[in-house]
Amino acid sequence: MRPDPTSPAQWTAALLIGAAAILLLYNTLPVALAYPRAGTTALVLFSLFAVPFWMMRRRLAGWLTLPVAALALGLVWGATVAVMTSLFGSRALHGLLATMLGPAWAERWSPVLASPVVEEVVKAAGVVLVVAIAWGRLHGVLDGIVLGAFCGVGFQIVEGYAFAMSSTVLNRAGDVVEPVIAVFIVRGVLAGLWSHAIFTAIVGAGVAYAATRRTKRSVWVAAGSLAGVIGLHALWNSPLLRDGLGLGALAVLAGVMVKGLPAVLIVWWLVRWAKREEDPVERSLEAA
Amino acid sequence: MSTAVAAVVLVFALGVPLLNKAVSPTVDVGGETFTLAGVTVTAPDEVRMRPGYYQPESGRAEFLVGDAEVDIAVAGPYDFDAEYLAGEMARLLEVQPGVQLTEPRDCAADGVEGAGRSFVTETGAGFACAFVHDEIRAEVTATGASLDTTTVDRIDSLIAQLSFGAA
Repeated sequence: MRPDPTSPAQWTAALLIGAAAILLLYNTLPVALAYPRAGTTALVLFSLFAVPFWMMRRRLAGWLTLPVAALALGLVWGATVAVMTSLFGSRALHGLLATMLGPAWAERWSPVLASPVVEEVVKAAGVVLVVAIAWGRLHGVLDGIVLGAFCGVGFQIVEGYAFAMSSTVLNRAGDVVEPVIAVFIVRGVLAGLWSHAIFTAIVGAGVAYAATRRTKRSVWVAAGSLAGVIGLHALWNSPLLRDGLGLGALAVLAGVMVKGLPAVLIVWWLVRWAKREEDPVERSLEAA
Repeated sequence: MSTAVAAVVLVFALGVPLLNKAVSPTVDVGGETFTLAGVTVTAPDEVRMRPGYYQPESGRAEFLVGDAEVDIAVAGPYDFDAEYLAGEMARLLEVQPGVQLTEPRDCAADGVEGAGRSFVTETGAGFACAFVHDEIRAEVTATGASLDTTTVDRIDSLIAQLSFGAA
């Protein structure tokens, strides 16, 4: 995958990523400068999100043909374009809901109805763009799962960092790391597995299925995967079971599992299905 | 394909925000009372607000006083005093591009004295007020292209309406 000045897809990625990166820096740099200890801690901790997905890539290497540069592009898209577009889009949809249905209703339901749509569609757009740039380099569904996971993990790193820094600022107790660690425990340890990386991995599977099968049905499968993921994300963001039905901390944890596990199980099943249905890269080359 | 992707991004990044601005005009909230995490504020006459900028569960509201934006954020519990809180607000303000802190200023809510800082930006001016009462903190940040005396007086009237329950 090399830079090609004649490629509209590469120009689209470069311009959108460039613009979003400037906006992202403009929004995050002042806070990082004001709270350097908290900022460094947050960046280090939330960057750890990438580790399990890098290990996943290594474990599935025999089935993958997408170059590392394509995965890096997906990660950068998730960290810049997807984050900034979601920020503007979700805030605006929140405003529209508040206009139509009132501020209190919008505050409660905007995370369920607005954010999942904007975030999942923009991350999926990134996956589609990277597949277009690396057209012909996709071996199968597992390439899409890993690409989607990288795009989602880019989003997850920046979102986690932003939540941690927001918590530090809202804490108004100086440049301390406790709020960052608290957010990391909640968003990284308790909710880290079933988050953006897993959601976008499902969409990535759908996009890769459509790109490699190239049938009408496969396009519907891709669209269905996006719709399904929006539903899973909305379920995750919903207030359903958030209080553990008033039965204590264990019930809250059970609620988290009930809402989060379906996405993880789908990815687990997709990986197993793809390994069963698709030949490893070497065997495919031999067959060719 | 790339056109479709760019279109999706532009719809959410520009289209929806523009639509929101177009169909969500500011509304006059003069006389209305807003509750922010236990603190109430009654907007004086001719104070306006955009729908969606009142988030009662988050303890946030943003009012428009003339051309100035007045952001109020309430939270608790808070263990420090108003002067420390004003210092924390200043910490974040002074690293914003083009913002320069000027002199301290007096701030007064309903029966609660606060601490404040004034600042100038590349495009205007503003001030920040910090209040702490019974471990509840309220932060007010006002910014505008030109904060004339009349506008500042009207913002101070809004701040004076901040009521900390039994204060």
